[in-house]
Amino acid sequence: MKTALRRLWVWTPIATLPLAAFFVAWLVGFGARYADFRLRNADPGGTFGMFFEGGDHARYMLRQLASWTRVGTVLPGTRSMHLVVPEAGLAALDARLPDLGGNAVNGTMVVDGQELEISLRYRGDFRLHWGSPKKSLRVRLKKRDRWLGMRTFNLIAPKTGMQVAEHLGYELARELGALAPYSELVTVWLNGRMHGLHCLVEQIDDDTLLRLGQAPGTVWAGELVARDEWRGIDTNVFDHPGLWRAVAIDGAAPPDPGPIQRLCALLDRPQDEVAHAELRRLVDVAAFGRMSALEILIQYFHTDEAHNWRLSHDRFRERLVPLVWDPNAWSGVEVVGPEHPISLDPNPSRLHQWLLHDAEFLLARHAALERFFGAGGRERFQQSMRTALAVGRAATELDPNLRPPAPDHVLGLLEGLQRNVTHVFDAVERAFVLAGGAPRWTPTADGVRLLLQDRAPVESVRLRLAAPVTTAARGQLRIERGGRATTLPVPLELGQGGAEVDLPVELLAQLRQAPRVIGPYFKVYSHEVAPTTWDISVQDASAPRTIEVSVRRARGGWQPAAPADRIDAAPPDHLFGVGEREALRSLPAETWSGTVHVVGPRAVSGDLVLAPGSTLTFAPGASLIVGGRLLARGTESQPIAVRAAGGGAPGAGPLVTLRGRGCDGSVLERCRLQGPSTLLQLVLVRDARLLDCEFAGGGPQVLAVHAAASVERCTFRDGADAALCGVQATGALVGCRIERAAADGVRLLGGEAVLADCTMVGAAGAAVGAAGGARLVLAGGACSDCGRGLDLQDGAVAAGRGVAITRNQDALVTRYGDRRFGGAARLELAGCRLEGNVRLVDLERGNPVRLLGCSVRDPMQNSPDLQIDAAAAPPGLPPVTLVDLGAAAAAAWVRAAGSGAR
Amino acid sequence: MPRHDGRRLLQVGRLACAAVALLALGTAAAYRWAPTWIDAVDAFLVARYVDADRARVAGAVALGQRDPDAAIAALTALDDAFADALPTEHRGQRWAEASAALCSLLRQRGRTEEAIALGKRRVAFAPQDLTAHLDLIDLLALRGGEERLQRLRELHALLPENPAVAWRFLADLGARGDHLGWGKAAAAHLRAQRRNLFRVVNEHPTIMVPWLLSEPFLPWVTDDLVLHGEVTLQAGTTLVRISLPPWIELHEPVLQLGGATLRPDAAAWGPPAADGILRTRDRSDASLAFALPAPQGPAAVARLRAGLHVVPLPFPGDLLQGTDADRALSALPDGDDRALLLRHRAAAAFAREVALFWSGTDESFARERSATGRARLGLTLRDGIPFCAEFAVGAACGGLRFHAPALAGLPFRILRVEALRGDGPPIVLPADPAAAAGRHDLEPDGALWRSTGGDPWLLLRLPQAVELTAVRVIGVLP
Repeated sequence: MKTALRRLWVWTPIATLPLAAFFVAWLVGFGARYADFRLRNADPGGTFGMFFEGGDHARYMLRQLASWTRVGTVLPGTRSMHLVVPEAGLAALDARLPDLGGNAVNGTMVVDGQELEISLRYRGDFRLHWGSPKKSLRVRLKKRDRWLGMRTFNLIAPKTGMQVAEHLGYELARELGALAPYSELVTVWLNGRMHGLHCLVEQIDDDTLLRLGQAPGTVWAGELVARDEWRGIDTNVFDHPGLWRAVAIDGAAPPDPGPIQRLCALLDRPQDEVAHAELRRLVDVAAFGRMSALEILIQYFHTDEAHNWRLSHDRFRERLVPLVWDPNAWSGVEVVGPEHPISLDPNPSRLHQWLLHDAEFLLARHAALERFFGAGGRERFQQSMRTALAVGRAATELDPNLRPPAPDHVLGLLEGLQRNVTHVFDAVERAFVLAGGAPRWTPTADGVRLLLQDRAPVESVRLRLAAPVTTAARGQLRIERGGRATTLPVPLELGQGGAEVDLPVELLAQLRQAPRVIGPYFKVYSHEVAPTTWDISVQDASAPRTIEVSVRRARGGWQPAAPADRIDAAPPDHLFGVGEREALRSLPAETWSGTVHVVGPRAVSGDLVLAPGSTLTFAPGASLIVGGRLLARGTESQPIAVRAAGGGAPGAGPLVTLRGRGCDGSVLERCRLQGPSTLLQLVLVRDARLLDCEFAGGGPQVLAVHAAASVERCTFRDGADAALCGVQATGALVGCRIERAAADGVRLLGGEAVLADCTMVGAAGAAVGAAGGARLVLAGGACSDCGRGLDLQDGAVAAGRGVAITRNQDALVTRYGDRRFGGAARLELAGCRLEGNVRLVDLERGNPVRLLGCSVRDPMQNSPDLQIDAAAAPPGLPPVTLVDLGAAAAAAWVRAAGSGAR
Repeated sequence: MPRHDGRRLLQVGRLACAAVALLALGTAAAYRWAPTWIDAVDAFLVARYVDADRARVAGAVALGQRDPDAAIAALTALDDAFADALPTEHRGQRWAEASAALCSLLRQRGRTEEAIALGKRRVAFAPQDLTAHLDLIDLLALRGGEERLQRLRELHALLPENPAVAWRFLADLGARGDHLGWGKAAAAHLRAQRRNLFRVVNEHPTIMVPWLLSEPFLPWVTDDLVLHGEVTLQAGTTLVRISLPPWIELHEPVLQLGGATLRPDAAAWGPPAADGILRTRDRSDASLAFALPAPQGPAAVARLRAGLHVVPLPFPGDLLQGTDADRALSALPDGDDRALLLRHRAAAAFAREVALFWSGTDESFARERSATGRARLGLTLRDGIPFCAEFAVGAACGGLRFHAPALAGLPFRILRVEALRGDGPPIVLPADPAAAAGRHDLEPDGALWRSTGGDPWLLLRLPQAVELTAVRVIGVLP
């Protein structure tokens, strides 16, 4: 017995040594964390308890031990990202916690076989991000380096047990068309050790807007929590415009806090029609609608009074556009489970509370949800979710730093996430898309009263009348607010010989502040639907009686309304901006003829018709802003003249501006525009047409911003800047001639354009310049006697056929102008003629040019990026895909294919 | 190494491993079966290394009340001890507290330059601490020179909307009519008031049933605030009555009990107003009564929910005291800002002190038959600021003399005066100019009174001498 015991004692270290070693490692590791987060630091963001954290620390250690047996294992479906930094640097970062300032650590990132120099630091406001072994990291590349178009990105440790919810939130944002930074699930390795699953999220900066295809602008961040908090003030971002920070700066202009100041001041005012109109001029309501749709679908209340605002100011559109940031996706649902009601109209901030009373916003939000549910968005997202959940499940097994370190709990949360997402989507679909029960109606003295009680908007109202009305009939919408009635004109379409009247007006039930959503949600407030009545009438001499009412909704077509004996008035006194577009459309067009002298800024809200032969002269500093269609149809014998009187001043504002969708369908035909500054500016306009016009002086002579226009047979002469400039614009130029532009003939920043049979001559800059991912097709025509023939930069892609590029200084130029765009330029010319140029190409390395079947008579240059195949047959279709080539441009492409230009 | 030494070493190693392993097992057992032990260790360490520092700072700050010089010495020692701490460390936070107290004491003792130097360190330590900035700006005023205005300008550029900054900026500019600054300051005040409603309601003494407000965060809403209260009922309760303060407006109040939603007893209120809002107006005895369908069991929880429009608030009038307001008024042109400033200055004066004298049967007034009080102010944005001043009397009275604040040109309107008796309904006295029995330094202006001198008062007669417990004066500042 004694011998046996002695033998046992001799061999006890087999059991006690590993246990002791583990315990000592735990004691040292946890002791250090305890000293840091419990004793030394002020522990922001929650308490660090010895009991829970100590237990978790031991579990982390066990998982890390287990991971040593799986060296080289990658979470399936994720990209591997290896970060190598000096251990001393990591220790220095740890020592400063929770202070995230100080110097970042320099190191190397290896990803996709690419090795990039980086600087690395911890990131995040609260201990959640850096208090456990898995820390959120911020990676910054060298100034000229980009990876996937990003210079700075975050590797966020999953904030909740749901692991993949953050990424799914961004994924859904992109599906809805909201502006969101790039995100991806990645497996991070730190100095050869697996650090686990992270959500890679692009840091919003100058690059983001460009990568998202937006015009350069300033991004303002509203943050008043944690390190951004000011002690002694309320943490309400809309009270403190001075505390918004510019996190991305448009290089062309210093950050202008004006829009943020105006927004904050506006939100301090009582809500009324005037204030809401101003709000719509200040913010991109459609973009907010998409973001709100996201908020509903992910039950996201995290962009609130205190933080997480990212508003980009687009100086061309002059609107604030929201970017999604930090979507705490489905975290509320995680807490309470699917049996609880969800917030269908979340209103966590003052700006939300305004927007929820704005008809245009509600319509945009509804449209986004309708698209999501009706156009396969839900299915696509659920596919992404299945992939992400598989990654999450794999993480429970393989991630050494899984947080919380309880795989069963995490698996349960992942299962719950799928269930809860389905629950939320179903509830939202029911409330917004499948809603739309038959509205009720009752006759009134001069029309009908319609009662709406759900969230599905009515797009059009049809009245069947007892007797036909005349063509002089007028539609009216009567809104009573605060005891005062306003009447809005509504367009009216007659059918059935006048016995049936369609009133295309978008109507909604208004929302009102609801009690807090029941359940332990975090800051969940909501609005709710309030029954709303609309009084509609048809004014006509015959005073017809309505016998039947139908409404049309986005889904379901026409639907009869149910008659009711009596409906008490419930006017839309908290809903603003209803019927504005319709009222604008029904305004009688304003007609100008003869000579009209414009002094100062002059605005025309509705359509403006310029009679043939009329002349518009502009006093110095004068401008014309048209909110409806501009219909200027001159004739060959009676052209329309638009010119600045007295010469004007270069650099002044544009002479004529068409702004907004109300201008869709504007036409300028046989007009002659002349002046010292921009002659015509198109902002957010679709289907504008310029036919047989002449532009002289000024520059850019036509500036199109987020607009779509076709320009046919126009002449541009002697521009003081670029002749045509497009910023994220779409356009087709057919048979145009551009002469002697002081800068580029055509300049594109983003967007898409087709140049068919256009001739650019004598431009000091490039005949055609494109940058920022612009896509360009040239069919026929010529670029001659210019500084550069074709100049492509930064992800611009162009294809040409049958173009003569002659007598330029440089025929073809491709380069990186601004590495923020992240992409190389590409040019492919087929059947083109290049001769008489001083230099054939000037190519920055990595920007390829292909010449297929071209006639090249210029001296050849050796460049690895230049590929010439004289014998190759030109491709039948342009190798870049355009949204719409347009009939005329397509014909030009085919013609150029037939003729060639050899 | 001799063989027996090696054996001894192995033996020691085995013993050490066994001891540590035992310790590990013990720790694991404690985590598993005795978590309170872990908590006790945690508490001990926190008390030893965190709370001790906190106590040192608190002790030194408290010493400042009794012995400023000793406190300065103690705080200076703490300043040295904690100076190397980072703002995110708890010792850094202690340093911030100690340095703020030290700054104040140095200023009291006339050691301005030392205080300024410390103030600059405070600002450098926490550049986003408004109090530190404002303290330094005040200290720089003692020294004079341009630095103060420069710092104030920088702060104002960041926080133009902040009332404290806007006000100091306005005052510092010599009241050159920066009415924009005042407008922003006033607007910020109003917003701050609205955001604090829950706290105020919770603390309001006239709410007799405790309301446990479920949500401390209050979002900005333009018109309505949503109020949630929770009441744990005693067993057998059949009626829940919730007292309400005057000048409160509730929209659709309901009580949720189990699955039932109860509306208030209409008898107390009559039918609600057309807009669905219950207004207590100047009623000080208003309450909501909810009759329960059956006697409740123990610990039943009833939840009150209502839209909240207007509630009584303490008015932050300190900003409007002193000469700054006079300077601003002298500079501001007639307009909204001036009217706003006048109204809030008047409110601040009422909130500071009002008085009531009462006469006995001999109809004479004396200091010993008087009471002073502070008017409670309501919040309204359009019709003026309602006020209610309550005075304890406890004597037989024949006449009441209400003394308004001594502020020349002050307009106010008294809606009613309620004389409360212990045994009977209150006697309500009209107080419009036509009903007053006497006045001093007051001129009637329509339905308003306007003070004209330094001792404005208004005399009201009771129909007969009555034993009163208290008197309430209810009015509005237009």
